Amino acid sequence: VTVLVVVEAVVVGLLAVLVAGLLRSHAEILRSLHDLGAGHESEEATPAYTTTPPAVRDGVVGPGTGATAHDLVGTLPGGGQRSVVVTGQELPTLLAFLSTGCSTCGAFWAAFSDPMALDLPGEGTRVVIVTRGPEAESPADVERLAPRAVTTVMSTEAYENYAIPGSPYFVLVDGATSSVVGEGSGTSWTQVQSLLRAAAADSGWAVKPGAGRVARAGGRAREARADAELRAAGIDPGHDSLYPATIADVEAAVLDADPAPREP
Amino acid sequence: VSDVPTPNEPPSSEPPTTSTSTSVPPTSTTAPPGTRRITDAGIEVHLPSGWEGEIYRRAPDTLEFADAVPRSRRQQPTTRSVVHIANFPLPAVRGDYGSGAVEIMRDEDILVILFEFEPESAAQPMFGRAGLPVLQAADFDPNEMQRPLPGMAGCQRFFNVDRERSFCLFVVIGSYADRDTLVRRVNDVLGGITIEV
Repeated sequence: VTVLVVVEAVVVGLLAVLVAGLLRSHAEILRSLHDLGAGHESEEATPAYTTTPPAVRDGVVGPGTGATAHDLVGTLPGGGQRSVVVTGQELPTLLAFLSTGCSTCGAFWAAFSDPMALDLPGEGTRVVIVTRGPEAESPADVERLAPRAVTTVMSTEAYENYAIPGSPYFVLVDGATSSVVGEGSGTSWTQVQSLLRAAAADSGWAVKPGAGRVARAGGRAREARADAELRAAGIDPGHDSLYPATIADVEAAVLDADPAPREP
Repeated sequence: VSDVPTPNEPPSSEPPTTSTSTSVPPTSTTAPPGTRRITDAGIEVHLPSGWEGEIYRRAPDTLEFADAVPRSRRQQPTTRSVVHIANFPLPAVRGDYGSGAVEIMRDEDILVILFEFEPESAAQPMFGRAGLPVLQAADFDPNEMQRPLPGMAGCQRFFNVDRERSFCLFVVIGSYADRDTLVRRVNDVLGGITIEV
């Protein structure tokens, strides 16, 4: 009996030491993860983060100090290659470094589906989404998420050139000076927008008025002009003349529109 | 192919009309300093500083054939490589022949497009020219645009690579008046393109 009690006491003692070691190891892992910023991508998991104002990342050359911008070359999610020039350009470029895996990025993938509604800092600012290369991201997943109206390239080289700490991360490049005028992260587009505007203002960045490219003809401008002319002529969407049933209807509409029809 | 209309193609029986151009067979090139390189599907483009480029292949639509269509004719469409090169920011949404980009071009802008056709076309007379052409200012015409735009001009040529690949080269310049200057830059870019069979 005495032997059994002694053996049991030794086993309990060993287990206690083991448990204490595990707890200590766990605490060290949690501390390391916290130092690496883990958990900051999930709004649900750390709701307090959403109230944290966005800030320029520590240790990075701050906006307005002339951090050099780099042109990009990357793979297209659907196959092929793309180069994007952001330096030596008249227009600014917003580089959005996103991932298919981070939960916070989901809001940005969705927000960029309509770039016209983004109210971007600067005039004529172009948005380019950058993910890591095919060795780190699934091209199929990127293609599924990539908004049609925004250029999306997969380039790990770009992540390295801009020293991107993680996704989502945003870099505003002034093409005229080929420099970074603002960068940082946030959990919503509103936060990022605010951050970039503040950073650009702090750096004294002045956008050249009228820098945006205007279509000579075609595109949305042409469509808007055609709509305006049709409305001025009393032809709104659904107007009968837009849905002729027979060729006679078309001829009648032409005769109605012609102020001086030719004599037969 | 996107919803953009195909440029005005000459009838297939008509010989190439590039008598003023010289044919340049594809040769390997070394990237000059400051250039960037994009490559895909045997096409390599060395981009001069400030030029953007994209090589892509559009996913073809899947057709559904009626029962009455013979099996021999039930061939699904395929798409091949398309190359866009420009000295201005290429918009994300573009037609294969540059619609969406052409409209925002300024006087000093250039858009170079290579559109690949099916290999069988390489033996057709329309693609009889061998290798990328060198263009002359006289090759540009405002009426060679898909849709004429004020002040602009286009040029379209067809060629083959070793009788195995067939391409349409379509170039748009922002200013017809400055074509002498712009065509030199076009030829510089064309010189940086290599196409392998």
